[in-house]
Amino acid sequence: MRVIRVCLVISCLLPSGLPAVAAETKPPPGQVVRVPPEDVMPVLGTPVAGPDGKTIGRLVDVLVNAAGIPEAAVIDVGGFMGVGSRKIALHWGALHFDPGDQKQPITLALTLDQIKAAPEYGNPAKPAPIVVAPHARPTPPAAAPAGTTKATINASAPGNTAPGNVSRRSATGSAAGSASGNTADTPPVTRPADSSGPATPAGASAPGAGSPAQAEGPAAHKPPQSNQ
Amino acid sequence: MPRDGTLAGRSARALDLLNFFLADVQTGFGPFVAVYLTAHKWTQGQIGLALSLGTIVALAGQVPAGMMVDAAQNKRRIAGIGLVGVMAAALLLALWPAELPVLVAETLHALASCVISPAIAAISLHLVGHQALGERLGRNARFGSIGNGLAAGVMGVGGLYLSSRAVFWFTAVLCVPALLALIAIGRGGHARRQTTVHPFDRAGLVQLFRDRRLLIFGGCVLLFHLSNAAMLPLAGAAVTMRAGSFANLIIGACIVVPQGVVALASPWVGRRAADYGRRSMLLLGWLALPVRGVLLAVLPGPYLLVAGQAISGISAAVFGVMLPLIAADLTRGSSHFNLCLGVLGLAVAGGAALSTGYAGWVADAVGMRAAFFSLAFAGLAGTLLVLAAMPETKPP
Repeated sequence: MRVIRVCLVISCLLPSGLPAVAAETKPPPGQVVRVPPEDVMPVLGTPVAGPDGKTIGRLVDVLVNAAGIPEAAVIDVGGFMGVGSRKIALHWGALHFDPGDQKQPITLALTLDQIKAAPEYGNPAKPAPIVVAPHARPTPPAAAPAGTTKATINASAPGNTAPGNVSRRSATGSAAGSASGNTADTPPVTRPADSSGPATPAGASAPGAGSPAQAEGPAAHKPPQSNQ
Repeated sequence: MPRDGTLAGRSARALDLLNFFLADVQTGFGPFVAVYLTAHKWTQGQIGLALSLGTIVALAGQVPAGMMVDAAQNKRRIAGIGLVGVMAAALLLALWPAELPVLVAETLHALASCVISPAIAAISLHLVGHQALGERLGRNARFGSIGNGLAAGVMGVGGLYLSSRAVFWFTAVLCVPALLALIAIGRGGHARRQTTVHPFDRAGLVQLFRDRRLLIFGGCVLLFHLSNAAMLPLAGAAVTMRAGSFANLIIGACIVVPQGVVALASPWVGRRAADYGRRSMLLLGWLALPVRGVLLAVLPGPYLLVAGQAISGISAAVFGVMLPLIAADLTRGSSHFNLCLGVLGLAVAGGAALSTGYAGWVADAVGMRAAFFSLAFAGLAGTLLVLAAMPETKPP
């Protein structure tokens, strides 16, 4: 348990915060870096809140690509006494992480209707149906509340990974999938240490946005392999 | 009203309460364990392992547990030991949700459950005798379902608003009134009459397993649960897909409403079975399965889904009464009632274990609707088996 937890913390940390920290202080190998709880958080089992602030489920797994960078979060949604819950995979960029927030550390930029319509994530050996936060413009106006705007930067990026899961995400992901996918590379680099409100989503969702650009070739083929 | 006379009295009321509290206790286990462990940062693989361990132990334990209860002179004591085991399992889960304690708790709960349900059926039989057993089992099912429905409601709300851990505290606490009710049943005549002298008497075992009716009914039971077990989770998943923010409420209704139907219908089922025979009731309960499966597949909208789900109350009422009743019929005059229950319990656990995989596979490969239809098909096969092969077991 602990190992996994630590790994998750690290995987959240690596692409966003840690490189910056490492560049500044350069700890010798084996040295311990103490990261305050406002900067990192464990994610496994953590409740995920919907756009209205109500808890919609818990984050139960993270899908990473060959580079170890999170592609999607598996979230267990719904259910009463454990009956009727199902797992859906949401693009990492659709999640907003706020380690400092005790009550709602993870929020989601998807509406309830979109969560409802999301296909179930079941067999890890098959192409994962990853739901992508829709781009604001092509979708109907009801699906673009204020919360969605944060995710629009990243929403365009996963279009590059679409070949891995075209078949099953057409219903929810078509709009985002069609968008061009290379506008999101700069924001995380420009402000790594800024810890104010708006910076956190950009930093936290950087891995999702950055990954396709770094590993565009492999990303299209790897997910089924790496998920075995 | 001579039959009511046999059910009246302190022991009968205590048995009512025992069934009520036991059902409360059992509600805490089951799918909710997965929610609880998820909240404690368990990975999906670990949760799957813990739950599968429980399933496997429950499968493997049925027959030995039945033999053990047969051999026990005091059925009340063995039910009490089982209850203490369940309580310990609930406490372990509440106090210490780490890997080893949870695996121990799952094993303990599965073993204890294997012992408790045959022991309670045995106590019921000894309390009222074969003649009034149908009605007594109807009452057991009624109080069990009331307990189940209430507990699901209370625990569901508590789990949402307090903490998932509160559910297991509540479960452990409810074991206390269950134990008190067990004690209050009193010594009575339920101790010795159906106890085996030799736990492994070969003649009796050969006689039991050569009985074709047991084999046929076992097949019916297996098909029943193959059809039944996955239907509620599947309906729940369908609700979450369609109902949005009301989903939890509707799934709660899908769990609680059928329990109300069971509470209303099971005494009637018990009386009908006693007066007019088992076959008609079996057909009713088994036929309700394909009807429900087809309705769940075609009914649009979440609210109608609750209505379709309510039909499960009919099959559950029939099943809860008929399984021990037919086991008693098949072992009349022998002392293998609990072993027979254990064998049928194996069919229940096996059917249920296969059901989720079967439905999940169809849902994955073809779709949700096809999964409902395939579950309905299993129920139809069970109904046809009852119709074609299951003889009347009511003694003339």
